[in-house]
Amino acid sequence: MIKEMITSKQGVYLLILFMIGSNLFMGLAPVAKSDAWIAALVGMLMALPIIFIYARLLSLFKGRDIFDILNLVFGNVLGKIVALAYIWYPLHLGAMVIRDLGEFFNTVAMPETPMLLPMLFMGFLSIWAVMAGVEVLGRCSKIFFPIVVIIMFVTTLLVIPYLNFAHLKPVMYDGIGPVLNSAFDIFSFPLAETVLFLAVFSALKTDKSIYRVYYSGLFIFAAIGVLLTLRNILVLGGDIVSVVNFPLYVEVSRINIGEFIQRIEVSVATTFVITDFIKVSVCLYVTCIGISKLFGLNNYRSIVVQTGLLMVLLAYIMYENIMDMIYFAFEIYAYYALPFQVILPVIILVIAEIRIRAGQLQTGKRY
Amino acid sequence: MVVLVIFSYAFIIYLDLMPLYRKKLWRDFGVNMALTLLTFAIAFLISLDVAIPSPVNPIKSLIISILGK
Repeated sequence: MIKEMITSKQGVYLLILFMIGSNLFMGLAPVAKSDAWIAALVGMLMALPIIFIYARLLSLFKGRDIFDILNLVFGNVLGKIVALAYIWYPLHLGAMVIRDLGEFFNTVAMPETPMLLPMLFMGFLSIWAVMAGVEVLGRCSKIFFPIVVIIMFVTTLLVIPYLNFAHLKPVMYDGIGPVLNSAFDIFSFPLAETVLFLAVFSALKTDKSIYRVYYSGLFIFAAIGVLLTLRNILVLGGDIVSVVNFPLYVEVSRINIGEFIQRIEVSVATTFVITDFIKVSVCLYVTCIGISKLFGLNNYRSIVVQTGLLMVLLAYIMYENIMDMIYFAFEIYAYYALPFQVILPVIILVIAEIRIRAGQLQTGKRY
Repeated sequence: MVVLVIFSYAFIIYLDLMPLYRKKLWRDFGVNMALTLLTFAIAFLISLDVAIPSPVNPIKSLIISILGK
């Protein structure tokens, strides 16, 4: 079987769309109010070392994904036990993202539609994309990325008359505590979730360094994220941003230029659906790869449909209402995700380095 | 709703599970079968309006007990 490959450019686009995901629309760091943009910057700085760890793992074991790495580093039995964690995490993350979409449609865009319906259709779309393979995902992201950027750029131009720089003051009125807290939220919600790309970037066709792909994705996302967060605060003010569930949507809905250009918030909904689709697809892909490697299946495609359905159903039964979701996403999730995002990768890297130095593992080969 | 779920699962099994059986990929068939049973059980219960306990709740209480919030 020919191995599927994505180019490094497609990898970067995939990474950025994945990080934009659902997070930007729920607002980065609403707790920090008018200091959210500082929190976003600090969060990016916090993510630099952990991204280095992921890139280092990938460059040590070129052409292998996280499940192979676990098998090599921990051995057959322990590796499979740890792999369970990396099967559950993307499954849960994908379910969370699908649920975000469902709640968005249920509360803002289409209140009369039952929530299961948009979730089910998103699930079908992702199943289709994952069935087609990671190459198709890469090409999708190459097409979708300019669309997202253009919509962001045009809406930024249109909100210029509504900017009010007085909203930025007072800077750090509540002290540095909430800022650091929110920076940690930003670190765990979009940025360190790129741990899943340990399973995707094994398909990367690159002679350039993997660090470059990871870091260019991070920096471009940082630019977009800080810009949009700043825009939210300048238009709405910190207090409203911290209360509203989908600040970007509310912000763009205020645009009314010459009584003619108005109600363009549907463009934001479009980007929301696009980036959500990419994120769910990546999560589904990683879950399927994990399950197929765990049981030694012939091909991961034989279980995509059922895993996708499981993800959608999990999303449906996961929370009781939107308040439950917001509580979990902003209060619990950062601590829940810490073992998957930081602790396990660090342990894997340390053991891998030790075993390579001891000459027990071969590296640098392309498989 | 119940009828809808049963029919759609019959359709999915015909399209997704039967080819694996015909190709004699027994491992793939077994895992797919297990997942199918699991999702069918959940979908069936949802269609009957049974409140399924969320798997997130134990995670939530575990984290709260560790952090002491």
